[in-house]
Amino acid sequence: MSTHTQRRRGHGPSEHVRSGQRGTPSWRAAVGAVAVAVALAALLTACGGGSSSGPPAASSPGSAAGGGSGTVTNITLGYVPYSDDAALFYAQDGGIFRQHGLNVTFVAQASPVAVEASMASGTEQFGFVTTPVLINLNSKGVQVKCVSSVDGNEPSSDANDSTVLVAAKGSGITSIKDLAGKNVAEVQLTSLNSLAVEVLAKRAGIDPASVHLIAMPFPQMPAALAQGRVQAAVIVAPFISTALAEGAVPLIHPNVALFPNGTVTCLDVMGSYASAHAGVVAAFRAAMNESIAYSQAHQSQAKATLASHLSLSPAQAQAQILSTNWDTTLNPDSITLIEGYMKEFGLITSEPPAASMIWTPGS
Amino acid sequence: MAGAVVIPEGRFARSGPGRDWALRYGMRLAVLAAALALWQALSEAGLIRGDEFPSMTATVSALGRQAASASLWAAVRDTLAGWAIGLAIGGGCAIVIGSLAGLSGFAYRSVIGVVEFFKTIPVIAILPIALVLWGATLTMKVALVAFAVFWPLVIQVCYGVRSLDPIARDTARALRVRGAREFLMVVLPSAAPFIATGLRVSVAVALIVDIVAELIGGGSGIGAQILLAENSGPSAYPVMYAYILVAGLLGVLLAGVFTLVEGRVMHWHESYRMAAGHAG
Repeated sequence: MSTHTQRRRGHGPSEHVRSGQRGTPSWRAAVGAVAVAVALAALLTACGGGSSSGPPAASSPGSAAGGGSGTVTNITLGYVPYSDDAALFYAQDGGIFRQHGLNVTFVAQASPVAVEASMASGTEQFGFVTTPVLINLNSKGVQVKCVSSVDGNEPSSDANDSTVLVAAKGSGITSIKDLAGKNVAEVQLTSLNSLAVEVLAKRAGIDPASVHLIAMPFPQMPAALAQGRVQAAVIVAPFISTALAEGAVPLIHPNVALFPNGTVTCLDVMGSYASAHAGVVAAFRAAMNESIAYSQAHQSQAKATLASHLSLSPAQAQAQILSTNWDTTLNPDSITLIEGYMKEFGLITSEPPAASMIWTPGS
Repeated sequence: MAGAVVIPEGRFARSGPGRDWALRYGMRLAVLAAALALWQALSEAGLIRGDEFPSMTATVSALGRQAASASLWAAVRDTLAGWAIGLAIGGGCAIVIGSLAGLSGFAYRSVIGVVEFFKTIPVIAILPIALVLWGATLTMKVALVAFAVFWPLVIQVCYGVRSLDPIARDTARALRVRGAREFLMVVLPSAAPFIATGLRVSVAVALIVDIVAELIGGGSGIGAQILLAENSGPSAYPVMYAYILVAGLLGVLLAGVFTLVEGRVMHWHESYRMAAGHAG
């Protein structure tokens, strides 16, 4: 009876081992997938007569605007863990969300695109987004709207900012002009950071296409700089301290130079959720603005939340630089500016007005 | 197509008599200790920088601290939930559909092309779609694990069912064993080693996909803890690698448990008996 097994012996088992994890997802394509899926979902909902639609997690929608009015609304929020979340963590840990009638479940995710995809699924109602992703989705017809800042707008001085374009030791790069023909590490292509380098290159009078942008996670950048695999990188705290210790030279803070006081990240909702649950969205905005104001006045208390939400010791948490000017007013001009650059560099084709990407009560 | 099939082999091939048992396990421990010592030596010699890759002692002590906290055990529980449910659904569907397709030559030839096509799709490529459909939830993890496990296993089951020894089949028919009884008593036992081998591979694949889904898509578990530690910066790298170690240990543990169960369940099959017999 073993003849059949003997016959096929010799074919290795390795052919059958497929981890399914090869390659990395193209998030640019993923934004497209989100757009298509949302359109599809909208179509299906329309065909299905709209029965039983709406996010399952939200109970008693629209009634939670008044702080401490008794009803509690359950919402889920997708976020990307990093130190600028301090005010967001404080809104949770300090009970500010709760005071505004919100019971928030936090879900850590790797990128804003993953967060937006989860929002499209309806399992998350609020989420962290960067302005380029916000613009990209809106330009593809997916309505997402900024509700509040994460911790305030982009600072206007280098001292308060932690995103830096650095040149590798011995690369000979002393200004942006020298980046032509060089490899520059970026956390994600088509991100705010990569867009900023292209804009700065053009301003410096070199062809932006001559700068080779290479996608790479922040943790790998210090080693890549030290080994000469890239000659420059847009790197953030806390990874920048490793790079500087190895002799990397700071060139410029791109976001401070290009978007001072700008809204470069925010917490957003789907347009459909906002119109159906205006009270919840208003409560969320009020809670975040309160938390950001409190965090500005009590920075050590806000930073202390980083110890439990990130894998940091209390001392390390206090050493973090919060990259913010603490201004909670969402800045439509900066969104328009970023949108203009995205159009210029071919990342989007249509330019929806910035005002449509910021939630206003009654819209 | 036969090239894509894993041939079941005995799991209990032993090189020597039973008294070598202590020596064999002693050797395994020695190799493990040597690997850990080499890791520590490389760190201390400065060949691996601490802010890029933590030392063994830093990682193991981070592991100890995490093991004392609730977060590690919650992460292991959430990862195991995605693994177990995904494996059960993907594996169950593969056994049912693979058996049906394997029983009929026509059905087999009709579906095999599609199955081979889907088998080669990296799960990571459909992760964004799964996120849009289910968000960063257990459902999303389960769906991806089930998808990843299903395609390779369904082929394995097909081949197992089709590899039925004609003599066994004819004997069964001569004894008028037919229909469901024939399937349960003749076909399935004959396919069992193939299914067992496919499942053994699936146990590891399911764990990898589960953790990758947590890491890239979101959803609580070991992958999410790796992400949190990674984003916290170099000071948290020991924690990150501690969770990577946990993932590895979990893989070893699950493979060990599977091998144990497989040995118990499959002891009657001659490929297992034969190997065990050689052990003397």
